[in-house]
Amino acid sequence: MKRDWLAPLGAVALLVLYTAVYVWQPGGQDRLVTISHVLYAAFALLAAALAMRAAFTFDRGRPQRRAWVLIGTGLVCWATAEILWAYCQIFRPVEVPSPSPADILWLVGYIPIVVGMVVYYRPLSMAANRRRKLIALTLYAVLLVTTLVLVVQPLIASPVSGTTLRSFANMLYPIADLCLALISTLSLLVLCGGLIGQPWRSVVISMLLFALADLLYAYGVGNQTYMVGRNLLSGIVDTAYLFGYVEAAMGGYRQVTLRVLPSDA
Amino acid sequence: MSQETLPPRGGPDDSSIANQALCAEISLLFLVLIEGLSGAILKVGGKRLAHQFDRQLSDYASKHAWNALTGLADLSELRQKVPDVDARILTSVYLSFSQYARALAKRILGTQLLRSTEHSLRNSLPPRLAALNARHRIIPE
Repeated sequence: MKRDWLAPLGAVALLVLYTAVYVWQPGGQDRLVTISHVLYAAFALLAAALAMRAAFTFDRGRPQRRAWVLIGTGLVCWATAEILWAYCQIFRPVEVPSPSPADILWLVGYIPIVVGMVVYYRPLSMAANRRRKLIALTLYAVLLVTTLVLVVQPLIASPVSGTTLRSFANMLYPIADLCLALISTLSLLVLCGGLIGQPWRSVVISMLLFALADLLYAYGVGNQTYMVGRNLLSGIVDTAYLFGYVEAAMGGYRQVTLRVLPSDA
Repeated sequence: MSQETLPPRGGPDDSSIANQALCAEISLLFLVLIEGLSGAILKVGGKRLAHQFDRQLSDYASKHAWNALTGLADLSELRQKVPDVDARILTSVYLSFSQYARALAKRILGTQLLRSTEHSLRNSLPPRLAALNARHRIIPE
């Protein structure tokens, strides 16, 4: 018999373990940096592989198959960026420029993910409830304005925020994350209540976690308060970031393992 | 049985023909529902989920004496053969099966997508099947 509780239990266990490592920091801050970056890269790779596997649950030519392939492609870009960034952070071979080549890969990765999510949502949009859609759009508009007012505007005004290009890249991430969260929420609004909504619940949570992590990261970098393992803000950023990938992987996993039980009717 | 579905009155053979015609139409209506639901699941949930839906519906039919009643091995045979039984009994069997199919599809697709699928299925029905559906509510409003 399949154990549906194993994956969520594994995620909770990882959360507890990572928090414990983050608080106690066995081996010091450098070890924590290594562990964090290795975990980001590993879960980004896992999420990419599971998204690609999820595509094969659909027949060839279906928009949903294309959507998962595109999402998987974006995640491959993100996983490559994570590996590159982890290498730079752990081995520090040269002074890393900012924005780095990893930033370019992260930003490029958003393009196939946005397209994939739109491709997935388009056939569902016919069934979308207009009132729910309006509520979601309003909520995300409020979130976006709050982001712009509370984080982005002070960053622009801040004298310590670094180069314009770096500030721009840091501001772009949370905005792009919120766009992804909005599109995936629109799909979830149509699918919620059904088994097929389960993967999208994880995808929405993942994108919201990335938005939170990137928002606080931009704020922390702007105010020079972000440093791995040094304070609560950094802890929230790193944990949210890791669990963004864990939830993205969970989305693909749920799509791959969807099944109907006789007791479901 | 309703007058609309009966051919001009004649001998006992006519009522048998009328019964068979009704069996054919109600079977077609039921097929429209289950294939529509399975198609929607295939589109949004994938082939594995659609296959599981078909199999569970078939299992349900087997458990509820489908073979004994109709002589057909399983529901998929409906595409080739029309059961020759009392149309009233067949209608009540389809009603029960369609309730099960809809409950299962609701669990998979969610209420909103199920409603939207049923709405487009109803709109795609030819007038004769739409009238039959209005009477028997195989694809309910």
